[in-house]
Amino acid sequence: VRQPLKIVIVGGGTAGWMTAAAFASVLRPEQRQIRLIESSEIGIVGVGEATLPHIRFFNRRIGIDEPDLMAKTQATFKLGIEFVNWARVGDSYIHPFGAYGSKIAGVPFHNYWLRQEAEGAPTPIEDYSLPIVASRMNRFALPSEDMTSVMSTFGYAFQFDASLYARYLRGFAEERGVQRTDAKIVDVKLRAEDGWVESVKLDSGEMVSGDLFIDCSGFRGLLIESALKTGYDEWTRWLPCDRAMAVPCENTGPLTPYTRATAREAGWQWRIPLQHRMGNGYVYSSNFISDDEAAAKLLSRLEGKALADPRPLRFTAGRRRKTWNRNVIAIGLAGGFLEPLESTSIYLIQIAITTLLDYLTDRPATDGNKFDPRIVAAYNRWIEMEYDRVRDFLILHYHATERDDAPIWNYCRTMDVPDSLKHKMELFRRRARVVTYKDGLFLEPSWLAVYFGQRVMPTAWDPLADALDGAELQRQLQSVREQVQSTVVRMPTHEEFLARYCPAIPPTSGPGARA
Amino acid sequence: MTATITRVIVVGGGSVAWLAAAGLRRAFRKRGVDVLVVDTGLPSDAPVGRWTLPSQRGMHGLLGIPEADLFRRTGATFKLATEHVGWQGDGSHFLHAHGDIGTDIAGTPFYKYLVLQAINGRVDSPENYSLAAVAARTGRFARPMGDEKALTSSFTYGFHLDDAAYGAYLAAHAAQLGVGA
Repeated sequence: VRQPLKIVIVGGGTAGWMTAAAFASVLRPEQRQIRLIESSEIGIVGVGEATLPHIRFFNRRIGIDEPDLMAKTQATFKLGIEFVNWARVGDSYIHPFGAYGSKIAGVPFHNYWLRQEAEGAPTPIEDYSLPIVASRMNRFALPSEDMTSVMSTFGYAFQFDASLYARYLRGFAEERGVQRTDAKIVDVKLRAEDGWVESVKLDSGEMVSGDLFIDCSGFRGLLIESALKTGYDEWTRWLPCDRAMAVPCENTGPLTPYTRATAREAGWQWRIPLQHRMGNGYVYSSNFISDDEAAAKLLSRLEGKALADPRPLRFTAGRRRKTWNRNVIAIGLAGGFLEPLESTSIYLIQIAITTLLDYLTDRPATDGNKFDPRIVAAYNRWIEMEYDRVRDFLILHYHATERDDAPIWNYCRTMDVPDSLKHKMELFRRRARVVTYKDGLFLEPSWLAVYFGQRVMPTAWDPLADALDGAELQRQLQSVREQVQSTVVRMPTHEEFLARYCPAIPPTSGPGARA
Repeated sequence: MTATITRVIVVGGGSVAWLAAAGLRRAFRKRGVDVLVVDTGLPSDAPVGRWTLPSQRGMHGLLGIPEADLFRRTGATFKLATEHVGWQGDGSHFLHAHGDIGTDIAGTPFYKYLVLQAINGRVDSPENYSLAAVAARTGRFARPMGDEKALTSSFTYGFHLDDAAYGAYLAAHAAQLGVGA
């Protein structure tokens, strides 16, 4: 009989509790013994309030009931992200969770849209996306399973209170046998012969040993960096923002089923509607604006009354050189930081957890108290790839701009971008070709949304799109537009749907109910 | 949008040359691109029989080739799998079938359960969990059908072709598309 794997999770924010909940749910009790150490004296960062549709696979895999989760985390639905002022001041586009039209004769839809525009009958690309049209009209309904219906052409995610999410997962994990200890870690003991983590020492004096340590301690990386000195690859030359101010405010208008990211004089501002309040923040570069000025600008641009003082955050864009080093795996901010522009924080946590589970369940987790170095290398390669994909996509937002009204935009517009991104942009400009890949974020519609939304226009398209007869082209495009429009007007409003599906319980006091 | 290329010459023969010519002509015909095959005859290293991957179905779709017509005129047959015989010693054999092997269970790929079973001493052939493999073993065939989650749509197929007949068929099809020779 194999001994259960002793897993010690350090830190109890979103990353820590997602890890605890997933491991407790997926591994059988006799396979694991999970202990999570968090200090109620250390706050959690918890600004990642907007998610991507992938979270639904995570919920399904670990057995989370969606309406229940939504009701208890003040959640709203999310069909995409609106980007305001990115290519030019006054521009607005939505990055939707869904496709634009569908392939015709095997050729991606946008080629026909480009052809129609060149032939003198331009229409907004937004009109061909159900989630965008629904967002613009503040409507929501669940997608259909019927693949022939236009209602199956989109996905959705959630906007929720990250503190309440962590609390929800804590309950879920504790019910499944995760042992929580409220303590601070004062020392990390490494094994003399190979430098693996043997145990962590708590402020109570207790030594906690384990086979596997998951570092969810946030930016500082208590185990992965302070103890193991793993190293960090910085990406600030491409992603110059290094600070944020976060502040909640009262809701005023209707609840939008989308997040908004507005480009500003030294970065960008987020707006995330929850059922009980609005989450706001200003992500900025300290090279271009002071903290006080950023806070003042943020407060002056809130839609409703501020419900707290702005909370400052500091970070460095980049990724840990190895997120799995010896017997430590860094998940969440301890593993890397990419600004929440595309709501990827929780996705990156999720992918680290599910990838780890895939590798751990493949084979016995320990072999002579060692992890197979080939497994560790394969895991690290995978996580690196995930971060690099997101990085390129984020850089595109900063780089594809015509703005010259502020130093940050002049810098980003003219900066040298990674070759991997340069290649993607060149192929799109030349032939309307989106570089697609099987693994990692993002899919073709996402790239299209940002290219078109930020005025990266191709000079040619797929010649196969020319094969369609001109009148037939008009007819097919019009039919997509009409189908989208007539479907959306029949959908309930976002608020009506929420009231029926997952009305939130009014917030109580405590750490989750941030005033 | 200016087409700077107006004429493409394909040098060679056999199915490869005609596929290239027909594909280019079909894609660029509207832009007035002429495609001409300088037929050097069947290459000396041309295979007698050709077996294809399922991706050839897509190529036929692109060229507008009706499958039934192709079968009737070239004597083609369907291919659900490739059998590998003797690669792990005399008497060994396995099928590489063009279809899924089981489906995910609780988010975990099916093959991992087979591996787990094998580690625990219960070695089972993946073929038993593949519709394409079982059909191939028993000499049966039907086209994939049903919605995408159905077992009956869990596979695809390629073709067995006589290369000379296939080449001749493609030459005729290319001519119809306006490929010159």
